[in-house]
Amino acid sequence: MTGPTGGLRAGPAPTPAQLRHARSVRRALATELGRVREAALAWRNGLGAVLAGLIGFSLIKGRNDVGQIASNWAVVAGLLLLGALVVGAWGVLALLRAAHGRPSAARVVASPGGAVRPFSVEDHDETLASARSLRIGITLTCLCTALLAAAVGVTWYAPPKDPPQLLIRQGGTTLCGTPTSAARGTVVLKVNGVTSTVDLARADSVTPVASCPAPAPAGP
Amino acid sequence: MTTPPIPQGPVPLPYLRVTEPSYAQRAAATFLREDFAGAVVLSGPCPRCGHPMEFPVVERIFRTPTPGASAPASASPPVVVFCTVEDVEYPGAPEGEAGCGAYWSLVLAAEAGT
Repeated sequence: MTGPTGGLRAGPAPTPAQLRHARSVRRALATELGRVREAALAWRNGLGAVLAGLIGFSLIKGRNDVGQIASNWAVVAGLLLLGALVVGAWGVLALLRAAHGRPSAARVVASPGGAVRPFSVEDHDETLASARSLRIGITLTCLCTALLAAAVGVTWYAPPKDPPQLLIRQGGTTLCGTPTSAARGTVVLKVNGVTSTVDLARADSVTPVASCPAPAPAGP
Repeated sequence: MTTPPIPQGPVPLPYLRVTEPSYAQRAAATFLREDFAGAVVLSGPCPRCGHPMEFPVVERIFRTPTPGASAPASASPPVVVFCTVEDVEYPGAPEGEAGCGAYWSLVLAAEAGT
């Protein structure tokens, strides 16, 4: 704090235009908190409507069963959804903070050696903080929408899970591949792109597996 | 026994949008400057009407009405200050306008007390 005569010097006589400008700034300063709340409310309602449309009314919809896609991609979709949830919640809180303020009490008694901030300064600080929260809220809500869209995209366009494989042991040989058809005691397996017919009557064991074991490395 | 009437002050000056070099000199000598983060509050008696007034100077405002409308608190350009007394009714004051109409400018030194 500076006492009288401290940090102030007389300036030149202002022009009428400068006075008009100063008065408009003063008027804007007096109404800025109300205006930032109003803007935050409008943004909150607008973004809320967009999100409600996207999620609530299923305007974008992924596959019903995420288990149909390859497991790695299912993890990606899950992480994207988790990210959308966290970012969306954070964004909503930021928008609410901008629209309604923080439920806290303001100090009205000066701390020893300090000055009480006038309410006009408190309101101005609150306005700037609310504007900052509004910007953060808008960014995070848009990011949430993008993550949501990415998650839905992953569920639609990720490669599907590999079809079940059949492992057939026949004497000393083992065949593993995708069954394409079966008829009259035989099954047709597609092994590395080559189809072969296996007589099940001569098979020692038939085991369905999620994926074929890697071929054993060739000996020396 | 009746309570004595509340003493009335002198009739306030008529509203007049006016500036004089002495206003800035008087304000520079009598105004108190309080520096806060992002805002400077100037307070003191209006050099024309003598009523206490307060004038916040801020660096930024939400949705600046015109580019560059705000006056940085530590800027060397002069800050235009005008009377903002609210609890006095000045004869002839426009509707909804506070103050006696006096205006002047002050230069805020980069560092308080310099």
